[in-house]
Amino acid sequence: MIKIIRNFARRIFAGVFKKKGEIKLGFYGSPNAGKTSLANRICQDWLGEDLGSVSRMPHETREIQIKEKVILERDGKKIEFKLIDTPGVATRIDFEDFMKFGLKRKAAQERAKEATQGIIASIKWLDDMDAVIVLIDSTINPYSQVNITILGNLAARNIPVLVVANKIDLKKSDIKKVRGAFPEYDVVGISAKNGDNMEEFYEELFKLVKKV
Amino acid sequence: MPHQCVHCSKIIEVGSREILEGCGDCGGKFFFYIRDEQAQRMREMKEQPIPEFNTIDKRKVEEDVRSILKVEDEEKPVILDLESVKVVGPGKFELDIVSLMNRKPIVFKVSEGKYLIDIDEM
Repeated sequence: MIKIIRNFARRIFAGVFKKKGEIKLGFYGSPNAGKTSLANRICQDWLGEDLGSVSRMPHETREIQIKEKVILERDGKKIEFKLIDTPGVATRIDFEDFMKFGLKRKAAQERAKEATQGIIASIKWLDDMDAVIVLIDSTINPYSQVNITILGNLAARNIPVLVVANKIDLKKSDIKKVRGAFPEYDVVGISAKNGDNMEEFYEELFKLVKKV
Repeated sequence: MPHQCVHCSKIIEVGSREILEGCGDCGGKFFFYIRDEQAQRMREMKEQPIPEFNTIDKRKVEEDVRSILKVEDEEKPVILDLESVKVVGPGKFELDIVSLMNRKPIVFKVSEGKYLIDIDEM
């Protein structure tokens, strides 16, 4: 109870003194959905540098990564973002999965521990977000516990959400399925890796900001 | 509700100072929390024996849990009871993201009927 009151007070306090225009934008989703790829794409487009490293091996991002003062401009309007890339949320972590990618047992166990720590950190950070982009891999079934739980919790916390269906460049991509799974959300399809459809993404991002 | 030392399996009764000062037998400060109803149910149903980790695994699990919870002071007792995180074995975790997102305190479930709670979260 004390924690809830403390978080509530912090939100109110932060709201009053929040630097005008700074939007804390979180990237959430399952491991390998493309959160860091999209954060990198935005940073490359507007700063010319990356935010974090990406890998085919799941749970590459195991700590919260932040890039401040990312200023986006559209139709003469400038918005300053603080991009917060979070570790992928999963319900099961098994070090043996990492060994399939060539990691030794000890390194794989360490990665598993850090991934678990990262998931707990991701969830703790939810309260600090002004808006969230939920990344969904459009090549796999979107009806996952992770996607449904994240979206449900964001709705309960009244945090504005943009659903991004990633990997539209791949043959197996099915953006209609993502839209069908979450009809109450705006869904924009992109390829963070190739930069496909980023114009529409930025347009939707600016619409999202209006809801903050 | 009693606790059990993770390292030597000694049962520590409710309200014992050993929880704060360390296990009277081995000095360990890492305890399972045993829920009455579950212990009772297990006795009644004669469920399969509780899977035990070997000594190396226990040490690894303790290291992992302390690290995940950022409890760096090894003198600080940690009681595991977080069904939101189940430790299946070293490097194997199952997370109940619904509980975690509902801001329930972090509880590690180490094996059936044995739990570890992050007291800092309470």
